[in-house]
Amino acid sequence: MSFPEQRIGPITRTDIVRYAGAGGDFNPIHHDEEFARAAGSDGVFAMGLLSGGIVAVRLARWARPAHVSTYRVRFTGQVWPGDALVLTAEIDGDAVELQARRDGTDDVVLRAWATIRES
Amino acid sequence: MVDLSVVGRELDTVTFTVEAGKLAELARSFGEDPADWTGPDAAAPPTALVIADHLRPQGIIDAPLAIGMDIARLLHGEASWEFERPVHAGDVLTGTTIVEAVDEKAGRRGGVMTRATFTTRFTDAGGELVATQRHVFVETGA
Repeated sequence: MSFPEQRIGPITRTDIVRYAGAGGDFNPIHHDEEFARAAGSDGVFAMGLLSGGIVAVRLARWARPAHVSTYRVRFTGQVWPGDALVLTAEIDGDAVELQARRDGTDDVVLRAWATIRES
Repeated sequence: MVDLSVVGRELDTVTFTVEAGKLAELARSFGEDPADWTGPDAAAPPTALVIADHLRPQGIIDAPLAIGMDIARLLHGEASWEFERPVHAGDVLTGTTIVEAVDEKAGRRGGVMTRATFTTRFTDAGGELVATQRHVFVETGA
């Protein structure tokens, strides 16, 4: 069974605030523009586990949620407010390798690996 | 600067109920219909154990700050979960977090880059292991 290419976002500032509250990630670099710039960032950017969490639920929908045995995500680039992502995956037996890139570019913002249990 | 002697240190233990309301908020934040992820027969989203961070004063960054990582240079590098079984609304879980590893290397823009791995084992009310979570945080060089 193949994993259909799908689009995520665009991720808005409101999405970032909503995830801060829902997920408990209050690192100011994700919501405080002044703090983010002082820390050397071009501005606030989304938490890795906002896009990483969206990728996980898309995977879980495809595999059936109770069948996700492991999920690992590595954050390889910032997701800025307004960014849309394109999610693709390759399947090899019970292993799934996913990547999300910024729509319209080759910038990979996250890679993820999952194993799916059969029963 | 992180003192390397923190490796192996137990940071905290939290016990909490996986509340349907918190799962619903999380599902919404992912653009999902909460009904699909919160019922007694529904498995929670794979990243749902982040809701345990609500029990910590500074949320997810409590662990890296507790070992002295600098918030102004802090990045989340990686996260993973291994499930013995799915997580469901209503589960009562206990999670104990330890510092699994700390490595240092020369930063790309100078200074010392520190990478720390925090591991949390979540057990259920019967003491059975439900999931093992790992977070990798990076403190960039100067």
